[in-house]
Amino acid sequence: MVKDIIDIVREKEFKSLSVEEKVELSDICTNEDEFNNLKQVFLDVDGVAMASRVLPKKETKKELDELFVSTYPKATGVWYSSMLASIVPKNKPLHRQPLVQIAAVGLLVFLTIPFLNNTSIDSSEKQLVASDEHKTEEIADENNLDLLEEEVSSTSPVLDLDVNEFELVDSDVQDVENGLSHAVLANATGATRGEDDHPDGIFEGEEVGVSYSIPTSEQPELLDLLTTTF
Amino acid sequence: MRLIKPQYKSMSDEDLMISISKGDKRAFDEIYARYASALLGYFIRMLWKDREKAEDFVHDIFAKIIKRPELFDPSRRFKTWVYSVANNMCKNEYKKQEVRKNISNGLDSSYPVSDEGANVMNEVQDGQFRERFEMSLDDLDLKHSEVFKLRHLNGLSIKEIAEVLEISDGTVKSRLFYATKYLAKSLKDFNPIMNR
Repeated sequence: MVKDIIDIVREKEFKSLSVEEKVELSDICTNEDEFNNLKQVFLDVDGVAMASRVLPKKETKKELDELFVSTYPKATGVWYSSMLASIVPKNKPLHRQPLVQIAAVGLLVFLTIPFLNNTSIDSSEKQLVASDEHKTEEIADENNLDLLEEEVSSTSPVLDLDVNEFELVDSDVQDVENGLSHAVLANATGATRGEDDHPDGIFEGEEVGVSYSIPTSEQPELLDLLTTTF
Repeated sequence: MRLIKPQYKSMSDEDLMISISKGDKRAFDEIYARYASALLGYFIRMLWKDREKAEDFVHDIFAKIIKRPELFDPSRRFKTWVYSVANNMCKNEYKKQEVRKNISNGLDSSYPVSDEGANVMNEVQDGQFRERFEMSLDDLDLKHSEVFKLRHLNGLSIKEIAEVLEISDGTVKSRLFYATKYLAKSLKDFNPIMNR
């Protein structure tokens, strides 16, 4: 606030006045006595002003309260309006209003929670899939073993030949035994070769059958076929 | 609690008026607490020390605030606005009294020069100076006395007085100087310090 001449008279002593202030005051006082008189008047007026502070009657306020209630009958409760005023203050920009900030946080949480759930489901699903794969691998291994055993067992009846049923010459028996051993060996090597040829384990074309090496002398029809060809 | 309750004490007059227009009773209570006493003092001084009339005027001005808060322009300062309303109310009252005075051919009893019963100045101690001061103020014409009262008794600045009375700062200053000079002269004989 800019000080006016009255503030100067109130606050300053005559000796401490500047030239400009003395010029300004020259209209109302010209010497120190007049200045002091003026100062005293102002101090007394201040005293009057302080003493004359009177309070209105209580009836006046009561009447005004009634008028207020009748003018704003549907006004919201004080607690509600005051809470609203603090949550949505009018003198703050939108981004600094508590209600907007709370809503933004709520929206973030609302948008984040579903993703959190998804990731947890994914991980559990992955675990399930991994365990399933492991199980199927185990089952597949077991099946392979069973198949191998079956294959072996399917070939074993040859070995289970009852020697007593046939009357064979020792040499023939020896030949048969040799032939069987060769067949088993061939089967085994063939499988291995097959795997080597097809590292993926996929066998294309006809199924590889079990071949037996039987002397041609025992199969004269083969000789016939040969002669027919040539 | 601070989060929930707005701090009415720290709110500006203008913000309180906005709250009043929305029906906030506590905002009205706060503005009443700030201005009721000052306005009552102003009306008492301006309306021939008639306390009853001053009480009525205080009631009327606050009733106006309740019923038509939209009359207040928030871009203006409430203090200057409310004093300009009070000043206009007093001027209207002067006109009314003038008409009555003319009708009653000067036998107007409702125009007390000094109501001793309601004289606030007589309620305080050291009444002699105050009486003299009051008399000197009454001797002044209205345009000088109202400026002096607003400046010294209501604590308005020169700029605020200029806004209330819708006159220039320079005019306020010159009126104030005149009133001050006049009072200093008239109270010179009274004040013991001045007689040294």
